[in-house]
This record gives sequence, structure tokens and C-alpha cells, in this order.
Amino acid sequence: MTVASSQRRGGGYLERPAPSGLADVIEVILDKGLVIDAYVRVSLVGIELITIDARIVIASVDTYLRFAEATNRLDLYEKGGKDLPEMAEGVMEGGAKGKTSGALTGAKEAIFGSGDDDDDEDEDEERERRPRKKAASSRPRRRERES
Amino acid sequence: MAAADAPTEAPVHEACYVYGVVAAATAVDDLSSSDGMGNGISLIADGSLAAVVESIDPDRPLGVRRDVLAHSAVLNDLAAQGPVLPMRFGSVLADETAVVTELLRPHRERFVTMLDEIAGMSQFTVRARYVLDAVLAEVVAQEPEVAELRRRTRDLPEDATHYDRIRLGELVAKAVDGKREVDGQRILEKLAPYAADHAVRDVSGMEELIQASFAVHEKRRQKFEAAAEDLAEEMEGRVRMSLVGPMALYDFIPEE
Repeated sequence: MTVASSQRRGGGYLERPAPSGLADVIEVILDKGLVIDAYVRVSLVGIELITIDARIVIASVDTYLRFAEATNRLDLYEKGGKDLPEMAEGVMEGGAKGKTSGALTGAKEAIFGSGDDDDDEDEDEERERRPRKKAASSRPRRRERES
Repeated sequence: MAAADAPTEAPVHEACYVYGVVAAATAVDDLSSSDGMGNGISLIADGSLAAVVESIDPDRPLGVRRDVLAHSAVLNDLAAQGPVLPMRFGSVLADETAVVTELLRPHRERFVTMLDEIAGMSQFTVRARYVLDAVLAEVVAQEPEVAELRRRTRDLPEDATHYDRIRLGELVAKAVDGKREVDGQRILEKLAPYAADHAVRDVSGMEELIQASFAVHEKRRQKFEAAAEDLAEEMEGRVRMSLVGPMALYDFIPEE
């Protein structure tokens, strides 16, 4: 069996997620594989949508503004320490992140249902869409849902 | 279980979902433990080839989360046991007879050749993402104009600095694109030597650096994985790398 659980080998710098999280799986299998021309027609739910969603981020004024925002809230200690406005912006960081990934997550949930069985998806998206430092603060919410 | 020679007349409300094609000789012994999407996975053999199928209800729309995961899990289980040609997600034939007459027989030669070619190989997918703050800090340090615009805009209200902010973001986006180019190349250079083939996918998103799949032969797998680990260590702090695999060779099935 290939399905190795999430584990770290060697030096441990490389993440080795099992290929079972929804986000990884979708990226891997969508539009891939042999195609034959004699299918029975069955309805496929949502596949088109996801494909489009995955490419939703394009270079645009919006993207530029997001880059600008991210650059401006960097804490570079240039003037001998961080200033107050910057710390306040840091607090808002989570909110902005949520907004930018909302469309994608929302669509996926609509298609696949969010209250579905196991927790792969949640972990996966947590890992993917949030900067590391946020992981700790998001954990309690996950636990709530599991219990 | 090979139901090959006497395909049964399938009831109208059933159809045959096809996961993939394997060599009939391949010992596929572990199917029962795979969690499929229908009524039980089985093999339909014809000559030296076999299709891995499952009977499903054609009226049920496919594509819910469980189906996508099942498709992937079954194929990855198969790939661990021998070469497998993955079908595209959602491939369904009318019944078991059609699997033989419309899939296996017409494409026999091509399938046999392909299975030979991929013997011993599996796919690994590398995904690298920037630690955005670290990379943005590099950009500010390296690009005087970025540093200047940042100084000018960050303590003023957004309305007053709208165009400066757009300019700032554009410069940063371009600088990150440049880094993506360089770092992506570095990753490919380091890993491609251990792979028979590789494919780079389009990525989008501020943090994405590269996503690339590699067809790796069993004999070079350890070296490949070690190289990936080295890379992750080398880039630690500014890049997060993940490696998924071994999987079926989804990205290396030639289009007809």
C-alpha cells in the first residue's frame, strides 16, 4: 500500500502529505488520464467549476493591491523597531487572507459538501491556505468540529 | 477476481466505472481493501490486459468528494502493485462487455506498449510555496523603488496612495515572478536528473512557486527523495516544499 500517512523522513524539511487530501487529489487527477470515446453519459458534478477556480487568481489591480498590502505590513525593523500601525495591520492579516481564498474554498464546499465524513480536507486546506503561524490559532476550531 | 470470459448482461440501472488498465498478469490482490465508489471493485481481463472496474448507478451524479478520493485511492493502490494506466476521472462504460469491446480490444496494442514503458515507474509531485513574508522582505531589500514606495504608502490612508500602491504591488509581483523563475529552475535542475520525465503545471497565487510532477523509476526513487529533502533544507525559511507520492502516473499518460 502506498498510502503512507503524513510523516517526516530524513531531515524533516520536506512535507510528505499522504495523497489523500481532497485539494491534493483534485490537482493531481483533474483532466488527467486516458480518455476513451465511448463513454456512457453520466453527469459529472462540479468538475468544470473547480478547474476554473484553480486558475482564478490572475494578474490584476486586485493582485497588485494584495501584494502592496502584504509588502506594507512586513515588519522589517527598519526604523529601529516596529511601529504601532504595523502591529494593528498584523492583526488584520488573517481577515485579508480569508477573503482572498474565500472564493475557492466556498466553491469547493458547495460542490463537495463541507459536512462530509473525514477530516482530510480540513487539514489539507488549513495547511495550504494559511501561513504557518496561523496554524495554532485555527486548531481549536477544528477540534470543535471533530468532537 | 477475473470475470473475463463470460461477461454478464448488466442490468439497465448499472454501468461500469473504469478506474484504469493493468496487465492481466499483474497480481492485483489488494482490491478488496480499496474503498471504491460503487458496489465492489473487480477486474475484467481480456488477453494480457485487464480493466479495473466497479459497477455504479449511472443516474447518480459523480464528482462528490468521496468519488474523487476513491478514484485516486484505488489507482494509487494499484500503482503500488504494478504498472497501471489511469483513466480520466469519470470514465464510465455501459457494461462489462463494452469494457472489452470498446476499451481493451480496440486499444490493445497501445495499452500493452504503454504498460511496458511505465513498468517500475511512479509519479511524485512536488509543490513549492513561498513563505511570503520572507520573500517580500527580500524584494524590499533588493529593489530600491519598492522600498521607497513602501515607505511612501504604508503610513498613509489607502485612498491617498491608491496609484502608488498599485505601482508598488506591480513591482513586487514582477520581482516575485523573477524569483519564481530562478527558484523554479533550481528545483527542476536538482530533481529532473533522477526522473525519466517531468511536467510543470501552471500555478497561480501569490505564494505558489512551482508545481511539478516527476516520473520516477523504482531504482532511483531513494535518490530522488533524498534530493527533494536536500532542496527543502536548502530553501528552508523562504520556501515550503511538499512531496506527494508514489502515485499512478497521472501526468505522463500521452494524449492520443
